[in-house]
Amino acid sequence: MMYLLALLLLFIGLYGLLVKRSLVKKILGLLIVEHAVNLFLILVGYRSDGLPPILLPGEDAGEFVRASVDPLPQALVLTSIVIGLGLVMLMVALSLRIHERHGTLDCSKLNRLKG
Amino acid sequence: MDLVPLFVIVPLLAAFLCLLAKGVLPNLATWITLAATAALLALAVLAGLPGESHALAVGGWGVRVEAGVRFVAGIVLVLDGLSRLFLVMVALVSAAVAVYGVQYLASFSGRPLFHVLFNLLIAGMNGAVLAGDLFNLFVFVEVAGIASYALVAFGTEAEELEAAFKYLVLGSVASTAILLAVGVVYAASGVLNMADVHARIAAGAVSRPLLGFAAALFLTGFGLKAALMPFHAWLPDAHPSAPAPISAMLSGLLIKTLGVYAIVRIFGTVIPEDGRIPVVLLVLGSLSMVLGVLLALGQDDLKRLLAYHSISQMGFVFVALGANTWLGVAAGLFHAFNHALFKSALFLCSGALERIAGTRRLSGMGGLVQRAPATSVATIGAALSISGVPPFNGFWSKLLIILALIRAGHPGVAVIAAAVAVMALISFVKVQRKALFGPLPGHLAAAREVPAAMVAPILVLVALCLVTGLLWPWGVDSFIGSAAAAVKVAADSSSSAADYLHMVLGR
Amino acid sequence: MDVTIYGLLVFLIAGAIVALEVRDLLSSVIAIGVVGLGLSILFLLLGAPDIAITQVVVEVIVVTVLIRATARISDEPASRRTDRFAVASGLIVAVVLFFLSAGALVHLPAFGQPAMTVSRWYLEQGPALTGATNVVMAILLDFRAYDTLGEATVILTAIVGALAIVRGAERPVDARATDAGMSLVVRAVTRWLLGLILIFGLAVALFGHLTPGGGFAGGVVLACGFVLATLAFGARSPPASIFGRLSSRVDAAGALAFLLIALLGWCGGHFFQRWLDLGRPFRLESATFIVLQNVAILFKVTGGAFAGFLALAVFRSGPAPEEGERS
Repeated sequence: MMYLLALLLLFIGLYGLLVKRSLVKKILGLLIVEHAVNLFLILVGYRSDGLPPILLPGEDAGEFVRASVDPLPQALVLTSIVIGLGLVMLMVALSLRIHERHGTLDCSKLNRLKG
Repeated sequence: MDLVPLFVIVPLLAAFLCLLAKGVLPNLATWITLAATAALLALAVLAGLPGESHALAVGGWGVRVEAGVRFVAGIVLVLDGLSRLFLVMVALVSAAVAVYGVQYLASFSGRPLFHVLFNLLIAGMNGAVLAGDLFNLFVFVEVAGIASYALVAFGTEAEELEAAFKYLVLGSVASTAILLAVGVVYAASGVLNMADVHARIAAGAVSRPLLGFAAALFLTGFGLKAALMPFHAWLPDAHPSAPAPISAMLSGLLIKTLGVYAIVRIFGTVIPEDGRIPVVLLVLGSLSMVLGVLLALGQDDLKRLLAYHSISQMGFVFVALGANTWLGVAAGLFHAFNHALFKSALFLCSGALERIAGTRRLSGMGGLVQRAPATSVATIGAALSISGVPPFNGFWSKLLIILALIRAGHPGVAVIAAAVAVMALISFVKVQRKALFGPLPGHLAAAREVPAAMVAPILVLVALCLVTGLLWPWGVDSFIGSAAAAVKVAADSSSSAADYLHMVLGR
Repeated sequence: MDVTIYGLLVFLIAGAIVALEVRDLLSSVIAIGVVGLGLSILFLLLGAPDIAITQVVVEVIVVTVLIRATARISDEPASRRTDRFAVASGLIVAVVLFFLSAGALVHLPAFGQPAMTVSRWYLEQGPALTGATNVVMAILLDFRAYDTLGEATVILTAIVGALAIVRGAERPVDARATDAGMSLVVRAVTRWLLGLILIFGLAVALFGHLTPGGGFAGGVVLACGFVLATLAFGARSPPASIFGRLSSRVDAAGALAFLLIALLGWCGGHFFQRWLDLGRPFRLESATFIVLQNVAILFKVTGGAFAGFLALAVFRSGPAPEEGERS
């Protein structure tokens, strides 16, 4: 059920990315899509009543292994957040230039993006 | 010392140095790129061609055994026949493009930035081809992808910006699909290494619906990157919009390293055999072949025409993979290699012809063979290769594909492939008649040949097409054959994933 | 616990819909900022403080860039011709895809019971083998440091791409207002804040192997500091103009340093092999190799994120003509 809500968020983001005409809305859609996938990965690694995968001084090592959430998806999500940031920056740069050339961010007015 | 990481390190180093030198020594970037591509070419010959397939654990985090379970602790780089083929392909084409770019880019602003992105594009492709880990594959696919989005928009004209935006939107959908697939596979298996994943799936750790879902996501993601129909919508805008050298890189290399390679790797090595995937590849491949060439026939814009042919030619590659035999995979990979050579040559020619005639429209060209003989010869050679005229390489790979399809029991698809090959021939005869022969229009009377430094690399690529066409029987076993053997056993076309597992997990 | 997570998820979905459907662009950017903050709280609840911190700082810089970049753009009202057939077919496809995906996802391991295979080994051996008691950082900068090289490359690629795309663009008129900076009060407060931000960013990066954070989060924090200085003191003030001129090269130098660290390991055996000894656990010196990498990434990300901000939000601001290259 938890996964399905993340999936719903993903579809909302895809709707923004693919259906919305405004380039800014498309950027927001991409952000939502990225949020949804990252959330999915973190949900996958969650363990019921889990603790952060950070060993504290004096903590029992065996207890740590038993109680900690899965650290690997977190490492992946850190990378994925950075990749998402890169994509968004590039998209903003493109829409700024498109706006400069056309004076509009409504892509139904841009020939190439109609299809 | 194992030289494999250098395939990634050299272009990365070149990119970082180009960025550091920006503004201090702007022309240094050109030389750095030339040196880097030359080094990669040397590496491809030195470390790429001969030698055993092997896996290399980054940071020394290789195979560990815990409670009787074997797994890879870190990330491995894998050099096998398949990755070798693509490394050589990348090295050859990018070296030619780098030489061509010196003259072509002379009038562009922001050249150091161009060179940074160009080197990053190479680094991303090489990294993806060497990755032995699903998430690592995703990361390097993104490096190459993001560099390519920016390069498509490099001219910053309205049309180019819009094409890049559309490309970026669909590219990010592809990335999302791939990352989600990696997430699903990880959630079910708890591993990311390709060999580990295969072992877990074979052991039944991933339920069938989940596996089908992951496979569909991978196919969507990498199919988008490969511009396989119906995921092709971005390509006819993006590839022609980029500067000619980048069109050559995108059509010649990127759709193959991120598309063909990844699909062969995922469905040949990672996900155990499933009868449904080859059928899907056959259907989508046939669709791409036919529709691509039909759309190309009506094109007047030379670069757009070439872009539609890329979709069509990639269709050939995918139907061959769909034959699901060793011969089919070998023929498909052979065609991918050939396409890399002649399509990059053709896009470089289109850039040269645009310089000569001042337009990309075929209707604005004519009789150029009189004014630009060298470029014309190169164009004719590359066009003969793509349209499958013997003894050029395109003929042999198309013949092998048709043969493989018949032997695998798909005569219908073979007939379609033969028909599409004829249509491609017609299309390119038309191109030559319109652009190169016939009367020279008045406005082109003063047209001049492009500098030798631009024609020479194209001629080299065309010569390679001819040499490949003449000498391929000698390269089949060592090069193309061993690439196909990375996924299929030559003798009986059964999966050779077991060898991959043995190589990585050492059991 | 689960109820809180469900609540937050529903909140995120509602926020996402608001962000996409509100007509006013500024409101939708703010809504997306709220969604990002909600998401980072969710990450915190799900035992991922590293991700929570990174998510917050990235959200800050994304929202700042979006507001700066879109505030001056008033979106024209979208033409309202809707093709009913297209809408209906799109909707049907989406619903079918959703249910197909949902049908597959129910076969995942139950929520809260991850199939930990390699991860169990990371948790057992990570602190001892890498010296990093923050196992996420142990994975990121030791076990899977090669991924991080790719990640560092991605952000550099995107920023160089953005610089290439906005090169030669006209500076929008209102961007010049940035040159002047803000009022005296803002400047005085900023001066105080900057010191704190600097210390915080450094600490987040240096102690990343012991506490949540790391070089990437620290770098974005420092970049936010520079962004703040740019907005408060003006784009022509020393911190913005001097660092602005160097920013993309700081990015390259950081990436180069990271690559060199990996190459030095290669001299000792493997590419990316640890070549510094482990120190006493739970101390800064416990994993000097990871600290070194975090510092390289700190520089890289500070330079990169600030270069990205300047390119997108201020365009060719200040006396930094070469950032956009002569056109």
